[in-house]
Amino acid sequence: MTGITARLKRSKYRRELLNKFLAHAVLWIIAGTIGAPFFWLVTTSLKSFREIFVFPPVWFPETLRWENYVKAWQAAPFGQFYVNSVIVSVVGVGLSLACCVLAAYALACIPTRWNQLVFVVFLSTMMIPQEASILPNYRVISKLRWIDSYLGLIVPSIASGFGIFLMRQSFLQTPIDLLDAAKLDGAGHLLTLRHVVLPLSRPIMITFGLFSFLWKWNAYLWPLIVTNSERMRTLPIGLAMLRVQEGMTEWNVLMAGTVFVLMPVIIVFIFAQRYIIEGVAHTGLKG
Amino acid sequence: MMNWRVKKQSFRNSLIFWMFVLPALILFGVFTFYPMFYNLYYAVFESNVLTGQKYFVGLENYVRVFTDRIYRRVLLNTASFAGAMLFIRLPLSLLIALIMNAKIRGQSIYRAIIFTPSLTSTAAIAILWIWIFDPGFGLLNSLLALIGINGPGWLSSTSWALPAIILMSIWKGVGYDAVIYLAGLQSIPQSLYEAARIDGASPLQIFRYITFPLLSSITFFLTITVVINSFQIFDAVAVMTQGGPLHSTNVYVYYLYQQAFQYFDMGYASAMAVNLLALILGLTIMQLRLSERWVHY
Repeated sequence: MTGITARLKRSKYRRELLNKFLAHAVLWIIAGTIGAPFFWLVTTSLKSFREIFVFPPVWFPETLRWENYVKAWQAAPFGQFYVNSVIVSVVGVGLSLACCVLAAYALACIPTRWNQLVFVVFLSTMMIPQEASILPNYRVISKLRWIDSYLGLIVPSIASGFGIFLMRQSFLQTPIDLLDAAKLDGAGHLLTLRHVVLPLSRPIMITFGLFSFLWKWNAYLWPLIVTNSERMRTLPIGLAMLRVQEGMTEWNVLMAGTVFVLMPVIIVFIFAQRYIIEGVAHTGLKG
Repeated sequence: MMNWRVKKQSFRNSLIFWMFVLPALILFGVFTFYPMFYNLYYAVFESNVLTGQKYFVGLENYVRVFTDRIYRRVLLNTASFAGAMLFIRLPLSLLIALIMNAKIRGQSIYRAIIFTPSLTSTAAIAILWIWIFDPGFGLLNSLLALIGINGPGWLSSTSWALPAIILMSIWKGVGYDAVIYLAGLQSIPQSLYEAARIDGASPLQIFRYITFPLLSSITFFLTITVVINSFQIFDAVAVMTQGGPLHSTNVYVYYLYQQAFQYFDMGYASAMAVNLLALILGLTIMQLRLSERWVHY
């Protein structure tokens, strides 16, 4: 009797082990396939010009040509592109957070007869694709004389219907007792927001801030339209222009430039993985 | 006396309410709502940006859509792209999520690797993929050569350029969908699976009658976002092919961009923008209707 159950147990254990082994093998293949382009990116960026045009391809360059990164840095004003991208993303995220927090707080914590209506107006903006507004927005920005300026790059994407929606849902979870206590203690709305509501909604603020940063860092269409001069370009535009406009074929140098654009995002991901992956898993923030 | 104070309080509240929502309202007004009216208005004119003249042409710009062969091609390309994302990328991501859901060590590492491409700049990653698709020395054709296949010209071929962009987009987006599916899978109670196993259900039956129905609301959410995002693609096309060769990769937003900023045909571009909004709304409503048949909440 005990022999049979023991054997059954052993065979079940074996089957599970086999399943796990298979799952690992398949995941290795998938992760390898998805990771391969990144490997190709890094090796190409370290190859000599001769090595990139060799068949069959060289997987590991003979000597690591770090000078490709220097060449890429000098091929275009990447330093300026970095400054532009950092200003546009960081200032943009700051303004975006401020704008959305105020609106979301009003919707969640200041009851008036207009809350529903204004909320619906904000929600409706999520249905309108920004791509449909590029021409009118370009005209508005040029009327304001903001073409080729940080204002033109930043201002149109400050307000986010999605951000307001996320924050409002989170702010609504603030216990009423806490809000009442703050009111009794004589705290005004700004103080309540700062010391009661925001600390309780930290995770959602961090998640939205991170995604907002990624969207702005990676943005291509709007910066392409609104910038004219090389000195105002953000990183993705500056890099793409090397290939699209100047037709550069030194792939090792181009790949080094690509690393410049991707690096900050990868670093952010390494440090904030938890917030980013959970943000996607629970709210479906688009990547 | 009391009544007066309450009134004063509520007036103060309203004032603060409006002060708080005003920045967002103004920004949306200028950069989201005004553009829609602008598009509707300019769509009935034939305008020349350089001379600043405009003539009223009624619905001509909308009618032009039906005779413009490039527009038809663009719609077809965009729909093919959306179809590929819907019927290749989504099932693939579900499959990956199912495999990842097995309780194995290192799950978070696999998840991170698979997810990374979706965070990267499409424009920058497109540069990498131009090089991967290089007919002579690119990674893809080199690998194909190893198994004896003479790879196509990819981005320079009218029949392979769109599949190439689709391939890159699947690579880039599959991990994002998989992470959402994985979260859904992990929220299915284990007791359901145990009950089904005791009743002797096969793994395929478990998937058919438990997993898939319980994931249907997530699948629904993903189909909607995938379709909407597909109609908005621009970056990959702008960097990799500029719509070519011979419009074989031209997609909706890229054609709209060309009309507005390369041909300066404002009227037509405005009509196209109005149509884009209508298309996206229409497709979303259609999906909502269809969802009643297969989504369980």
